[in-house]
Amino acid sequence: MEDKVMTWRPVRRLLAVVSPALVVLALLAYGLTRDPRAIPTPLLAQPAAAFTLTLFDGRQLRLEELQGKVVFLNFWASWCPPCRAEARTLEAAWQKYQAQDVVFLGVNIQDRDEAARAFLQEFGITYPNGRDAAGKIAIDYGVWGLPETFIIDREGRISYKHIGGLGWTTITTKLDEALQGIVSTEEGKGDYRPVR
Amino acid sequence: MTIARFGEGGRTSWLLAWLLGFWLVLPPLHLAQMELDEQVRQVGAQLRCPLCQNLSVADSPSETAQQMRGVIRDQLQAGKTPEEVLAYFRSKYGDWILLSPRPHGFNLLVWLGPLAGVAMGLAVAIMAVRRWARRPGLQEHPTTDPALLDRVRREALNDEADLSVADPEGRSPLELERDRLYAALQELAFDSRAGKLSPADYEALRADYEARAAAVLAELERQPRTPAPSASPLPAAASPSAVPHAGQGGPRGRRWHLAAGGVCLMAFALALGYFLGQSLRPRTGEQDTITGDFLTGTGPEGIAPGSRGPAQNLAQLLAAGRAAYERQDWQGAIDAFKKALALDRGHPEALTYLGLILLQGGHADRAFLAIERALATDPTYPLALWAKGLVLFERKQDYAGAIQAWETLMAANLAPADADVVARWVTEARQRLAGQPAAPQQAANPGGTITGTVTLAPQLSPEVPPGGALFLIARKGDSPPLAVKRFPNPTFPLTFSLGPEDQMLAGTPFEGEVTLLARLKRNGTAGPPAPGDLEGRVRGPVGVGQQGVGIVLDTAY
Repeated sequence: MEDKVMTWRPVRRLLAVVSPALVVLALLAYGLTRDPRAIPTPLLAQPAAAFTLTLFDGRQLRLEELQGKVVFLNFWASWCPPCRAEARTLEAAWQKYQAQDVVFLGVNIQDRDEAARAFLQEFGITYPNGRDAAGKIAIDYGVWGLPETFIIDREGRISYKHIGGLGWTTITTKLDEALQGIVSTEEGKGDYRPVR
Repeated sequence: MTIARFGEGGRTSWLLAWLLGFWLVLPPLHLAQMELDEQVRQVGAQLRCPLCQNLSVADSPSETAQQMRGVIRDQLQAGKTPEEVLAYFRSKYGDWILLSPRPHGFNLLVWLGPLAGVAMGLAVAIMAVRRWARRPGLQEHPTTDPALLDRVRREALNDEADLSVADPEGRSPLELERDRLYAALQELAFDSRAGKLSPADYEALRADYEARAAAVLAELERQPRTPAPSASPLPAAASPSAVPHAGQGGPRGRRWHLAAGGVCLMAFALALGYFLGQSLRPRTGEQDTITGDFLTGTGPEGIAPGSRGPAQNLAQLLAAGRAAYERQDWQGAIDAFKKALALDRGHPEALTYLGLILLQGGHADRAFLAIERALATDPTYPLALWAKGLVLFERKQDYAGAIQAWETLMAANLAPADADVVARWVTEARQRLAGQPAAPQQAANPGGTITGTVTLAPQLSPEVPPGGALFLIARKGDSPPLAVKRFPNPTFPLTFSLGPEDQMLAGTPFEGEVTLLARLKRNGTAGPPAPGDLEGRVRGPVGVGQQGVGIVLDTAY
């Protein structure tokens, strides 16, 4: 009996200290391995918010006009390095997909007009781009980092969201999926910069 | 004072025309704007800025937060409720965007975690208190061999000489433990002799240590002998833990001490948590901090009136606003009163002044709204009552309403001069109400005479020595007296009439606005006041032709 007490007491004491510590450690592990800035979007498979964008050439473009087409909606700024990194890939993808009922659309946010125009010229961007100076479209799409890309399928649903720079494989895979009406269950992630 | 200035002299139409000119350059005033600002701030304070760490949209200076505030403003202006605006942001950013996580799912941890922590802390505290309070008596070691106990007593208390020769290096852990217990017993005996322990505590602790030492000895005897001789077992130094704790194993009373201590500690922790929580609040402006109220003294509500801090700030802001108003710096006045309203939303003076500025800008409806808000806070606030009457009279032609407001005002304790002005306006309003055009004041009093009454302030002596005289002096600015009248051996109240016949300066017409002063000279001669003389003046200018002017002798030299 005495021996039992002698052997069990330290074990119980150890458990009493270790188990709360393990809980705290588990919480820490969970918290520290997540990106505290990441904001998971609730918009996947939801209808895309309507907007009217004034393009750099002065034309007005309404999202409703693109109904029935897949829309590749890219939010960018000239000061954001990942935006620069993906710019040429985006233009190349536009060249590949423009014949397939896919529309690329760039929305410039938190930027200056001349810097944005210089960016478009520098990378030879030919798909339509416009400025969202008040950030209303960006907020409507829950934008919090740059670049952010939304793919809107033929039915006007958001089929994919990507935060950060895009590579060729992701663009083509997700556009092909959208063309087939496949909606992603998770958003993608690459390098990004927080918006200002 | 301000009242008198507003209504004085029958020059209202001229004043209004002039103010209307001002209105053209007046910046747009938006009282409703202030309310909207506040709503935007309240909604923004509940939203997390998407790129700042732990800042609300209301507090963040980032461009994104600015744009979000713009969206909040637009939606509120479009008629959405704050809840709908919050729901909009949730639909775009998810629950992440809410500063207070909603209590469901994983988020429950945030709400229940602290409660669980408190519960666990309580459990640990109770366990610890119970353990401390448990009396470590011999019953814990019922099987101790009496022979071993004797040996413990002998070795521990009689072998003090060996304390210095011990070599901890060559001892087994059991021997070290035995030596530690012996040292503790020695210190216990020393403390007992020194009177630091009660006999009961000493006995209890001694029995405990002896029993533990006996158990160690029994264990040592079961084990094969170590090279170190067990006959000289005393340690070099006692470890700090061997110092007996006076609190350990005390008598029954001690248990209550500990329990009470634990309860006090808990109460302190709870109070600290509560008050610290109370001392944080949303920022009310760019210069504000998140700490506030009575703990840090920076909050708007935690400071008793009259103490320093925000109350003084409020007074300073109001004074600055009045000063700006007086020098017709409308923007400065608006800024100061808006800041005052940020500290106290319903401050009647700030609201009334804003209303007066709005009125001068021609925004009669908004002015009326502001004045009504002031009266909602203080239904008898004189300036607001005056201004309400003015709005109703001048802009809305609601003479009955104006009369009602002004009569409420007259029921209040007004200075005689102010009461006279209000009475004149009430008369005029009555005339207009009866459909009679009001005759100009000057026409009724063609001679340009000022009439009124001089009274004595109640706290001053009414005695006037024989040969004393009252001088009534009218001046224009700082110039020499324009008109003076002498009343020998006056009795109060004294009715007076000051007209062109009393003029001192030839060539200066007795018209326009003058300052009026009454001086009671005990020696009856004109000149500056001497000790014992009394003086009273009408605050603000008096229009020549004005009737029923009241002067109170309230200053003694």
